[in-house]
Amino acid sequence: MSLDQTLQEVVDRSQQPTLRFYGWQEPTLSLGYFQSNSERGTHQASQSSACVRRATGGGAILHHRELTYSIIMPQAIGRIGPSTELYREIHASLIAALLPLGVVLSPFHRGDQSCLGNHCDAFLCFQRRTSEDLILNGYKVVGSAQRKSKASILQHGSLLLNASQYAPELPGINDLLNYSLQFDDVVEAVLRSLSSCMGLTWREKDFTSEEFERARSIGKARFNRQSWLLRR
Amino acid sequence: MTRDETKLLYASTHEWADIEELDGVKYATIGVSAFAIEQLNDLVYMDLPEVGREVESGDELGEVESVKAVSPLYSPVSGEVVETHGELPDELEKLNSDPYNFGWIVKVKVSNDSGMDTLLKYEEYKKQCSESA
Repeated sequence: MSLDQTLQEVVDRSQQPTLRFYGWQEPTLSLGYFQSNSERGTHQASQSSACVRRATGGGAILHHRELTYSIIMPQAIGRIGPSTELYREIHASLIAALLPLGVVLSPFHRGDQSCLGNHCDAFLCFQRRTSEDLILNGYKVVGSAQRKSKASILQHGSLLLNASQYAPELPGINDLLNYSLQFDDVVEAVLRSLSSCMGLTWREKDFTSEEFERARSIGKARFNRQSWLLRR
Repeated sequence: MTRDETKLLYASTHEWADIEELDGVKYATIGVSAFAIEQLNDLVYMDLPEVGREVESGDELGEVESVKAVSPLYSPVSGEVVETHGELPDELEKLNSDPYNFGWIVKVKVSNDSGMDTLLKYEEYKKQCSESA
């Protein structure tokens, strides 16, 4: 989370889009920015997992057997609210990326009776449904949320590959299709598709020591503090 | 008293400021414009700053979550937060119908004029909105 905030600060200055894929060192529940920590009590399976609070909104995500991405795009000062264009571009890219692998994702349409779970305030993100979600066989397998800054927008997303023992009610793509897609296969396909669909050429880059230092400082002041996790 | 939106000042980030002077001290009542509320679409949460907090013009003053996005609110002026509208986070639906009266968010005791020269008059702000819509 600290690295994503660091990257958003970089994009605010550089106005260069940034894309990051990552996994997690241990199974971790991330609460949405405005979620109450006390809501954790309603979800027994994730009680023993690590827990963080995101800077993006929406419901809780169990990061275990999934792919997390963050994409940060420059935005003109004065733009406000969610960027539905960005949601649509990213999701069109994800649909195109996974189609050749035999995974047919489709956006959620309100009123879709075949879609399981439709609670806008469910604790888990993957049990909520909006038109910005991607569905496979009635299950949500891609969830996302955005955070604006003055000059950019960050979109966090999660693509569920397999159910986790910490959230066994949420099947992933591999469970639903009896596949064995791996993290790296999906990253490669998504990266290729994001380049062609968005007309961008991504250049691989390591974090600089200054960026790591900034992330450490953000972590100390914000994301690693118990008061941040328990703020609601 | 009903606020006249055409008499307010606006930040390019969509906050409005109603600046009054009392005993030689300026106070700014701050809210979010009707245009921004429409763009934000279905606000579900709002965070207010603590009373006593010092802010510079352009600093984050609070945050709102609409469906699918968290957006910061920025202070159009520099000074000390002296009052917050505590009922507002529980009655966000009223922002849609009354953004300039019930929809006030904070009052700031202005410490200096920094940033005030960048605030837009109503007509200038309307032009910005029409260009970004």
